Amino acid sequence: MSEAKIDVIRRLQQAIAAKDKAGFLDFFAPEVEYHYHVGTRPLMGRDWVEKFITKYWADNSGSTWVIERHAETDTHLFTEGREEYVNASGQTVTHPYMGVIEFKPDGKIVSWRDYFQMADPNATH
Amino acid sequence: MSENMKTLEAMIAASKRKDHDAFVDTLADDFEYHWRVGTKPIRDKATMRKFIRNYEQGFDQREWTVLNWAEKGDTLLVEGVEKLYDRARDVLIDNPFMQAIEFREGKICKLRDYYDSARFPAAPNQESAA
Repeated sequence: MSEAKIDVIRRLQQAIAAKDKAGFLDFFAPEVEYHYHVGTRPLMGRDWVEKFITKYWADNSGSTWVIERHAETDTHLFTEGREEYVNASGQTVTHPYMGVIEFKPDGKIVSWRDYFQMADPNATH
Repeated sequence: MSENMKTLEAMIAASKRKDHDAFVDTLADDFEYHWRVGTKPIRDKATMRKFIRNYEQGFDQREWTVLNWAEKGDTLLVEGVEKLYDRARDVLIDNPFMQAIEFREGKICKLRDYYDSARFPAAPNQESAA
């Protein structure tokens, strides 16, 4: 029996918490298409994901990714939750989001799309 | 297809027909709608009717397509895209979205929409639509 997709993502979250870049990147297929924000140009390929996460971890601190609900199929994991972090200006930002992650038969992530308001919610509300 | 997915399809069909009665009939009496998560939700059917009427003054929903979904218990998580005609700007907009939909006894009791409203710079005053 293959591992539940939510458990794969729980392990990915542990890699993020540990800032384990190699471990993090190992979850992705080389050809991954990563829409960290649907509506913005996606990251194409694992190398681009590495550049993105390197900058993201440098610019943001205290990041917390909370999955509040999830459901999965044989190929996709759907999540609803929130991400909280402290941005480069020292401001705490909370983004409610939903995301869908597609896995290849070998378990690697081949596509990822996150949906949320890009505008800083703390600045607009 | 699950009963909850059938209810969602009934809602989509009603929306395409502009049939507000059939649309609202898919909702529980204590329906809660977060049309933009983080802002005050709509909490009853009468307000939902008003929201739909005001929304249709600004936009004509031409398509509503479910692309992917998964269910867990009475929660349905959906990815889709809608095609909206923006009456004020005279443009057609593709709006990709996700929805978290919670059901109770075959009716939708909670609905949360996730998308980026930055695609709608000329949107009518939805803050006051409800």
